[in-house]
Amino acid sequence: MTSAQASPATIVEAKGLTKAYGRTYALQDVSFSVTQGERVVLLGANGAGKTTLLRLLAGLLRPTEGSVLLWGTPPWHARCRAQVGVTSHASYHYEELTAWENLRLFGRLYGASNLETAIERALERVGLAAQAREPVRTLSRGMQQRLAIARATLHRPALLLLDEPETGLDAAAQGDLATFLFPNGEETAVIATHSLSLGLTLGRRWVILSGGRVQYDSQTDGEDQARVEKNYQMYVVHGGR
Amino acid sequence: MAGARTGTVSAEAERSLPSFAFQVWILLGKEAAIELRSKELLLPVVVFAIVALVSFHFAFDLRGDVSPLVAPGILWIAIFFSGMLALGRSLGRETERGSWEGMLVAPLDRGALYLSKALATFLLLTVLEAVLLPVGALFFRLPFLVPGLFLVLPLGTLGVTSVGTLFALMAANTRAREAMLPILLLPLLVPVMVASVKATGGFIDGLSWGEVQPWIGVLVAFDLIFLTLSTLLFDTVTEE
Repeated sequence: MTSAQASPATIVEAKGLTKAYGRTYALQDVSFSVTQGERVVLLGANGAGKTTLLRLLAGLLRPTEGSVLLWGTPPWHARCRAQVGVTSHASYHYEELTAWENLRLFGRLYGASNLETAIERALERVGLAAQAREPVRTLSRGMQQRLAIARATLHRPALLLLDEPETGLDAAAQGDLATFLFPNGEETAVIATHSLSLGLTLGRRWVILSGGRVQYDSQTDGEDQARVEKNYQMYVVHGGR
Repeated sequence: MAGARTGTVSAEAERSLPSFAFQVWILLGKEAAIELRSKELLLPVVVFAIVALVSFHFAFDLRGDVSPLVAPGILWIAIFFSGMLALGRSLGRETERGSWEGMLVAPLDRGALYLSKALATFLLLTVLEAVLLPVGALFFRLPFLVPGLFLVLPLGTLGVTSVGTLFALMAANTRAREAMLPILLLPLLVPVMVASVKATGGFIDGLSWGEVQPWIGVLVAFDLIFLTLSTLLFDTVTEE
């Protein structure tokens, strides 16, 4: 593509991102961008920096060095957050409220349009229509994760930031994860996962983190799955040896 | 990337966001719904305050002339410590369960988040005071239902919740939050404590408005300053 108009718009722009906790570096000099429609999977072992990177993109952390912009704006601005859907290790729900009430609360805060219909559709999509009026505390961990996905996608965000979205889901639900998360098939997302097989299913681009640094990015280092698997073995399974 | 262009934030998404006042209203509704179902804050706080009142009554053998001197102080100590208990628990349970982070990633004005928490605790303490005043009047045999108290109580309570909400969030992110909150908060609350006790004592003793007014002025000034400061500072405090 030669025309600037024809190229997909950049949604995420991270430059030299570093996050340190005292003398410990969780992330070091990470630069990458995500364009509209891309689905980037972050792969890495525990402590590789996946969650830190997602939290920086979500505006929950401020970088020690470097910068991160979503649509050219710092991610902690409300107008950015309005267009982002997040799932995290925590479900974000209020366990005293029902599944429906939780979605209604978040839908109102995000200014979701046609909220009642959107809630019904979201609950149906994740297979929780029958549990809509049950308090969240009575739902299983897997059901709570389905609800977290419904919450994150309720307002039809332009960018999804998903930290291990498969957590707590049974094998059948993991198989349906792409349908739960990407009903339109064109959503832009950054997904962190330990699971290579799930990462290969959900992603269109793969980034491997190790020791807080990007060790492999399929966009620049070759996109074929064999190469992703080889680098996964090297950096995640064998720790870079 | 050659030819790359930066996308723009959707103006439509921004326009559809609720106003500041509506955000406070939505969050206040959430606080009320949770408390009405769980009673996790109100019951312990009411029981704690009544037990404190009764304990002071028996410990000091409050009869005769001593009662009007110390009863206002005892009443406010019960309210202050109950307020700290409610604030610590309210923010503690949200940070423990992870729902607080859900609020932080939502497109909310952090000031609205602060005000809704402060107002919810204010309402909770108002319910507590509605229970505590008749109990106090019974135990201390004092006219706790004088009209002036209906001015002092909201002002003093707002003082506790305005500063307390800010510090409860700071304490919620520490390991020993139950101990940290009183350590951080009590020194700052000394002006509210003194003014509330003096104004309450003055109204019970039947002093004129002019004699009590300076203490009311202290409370109004404290509330205005700390409500404004805390609303502005809450954004900084919520940064990890």
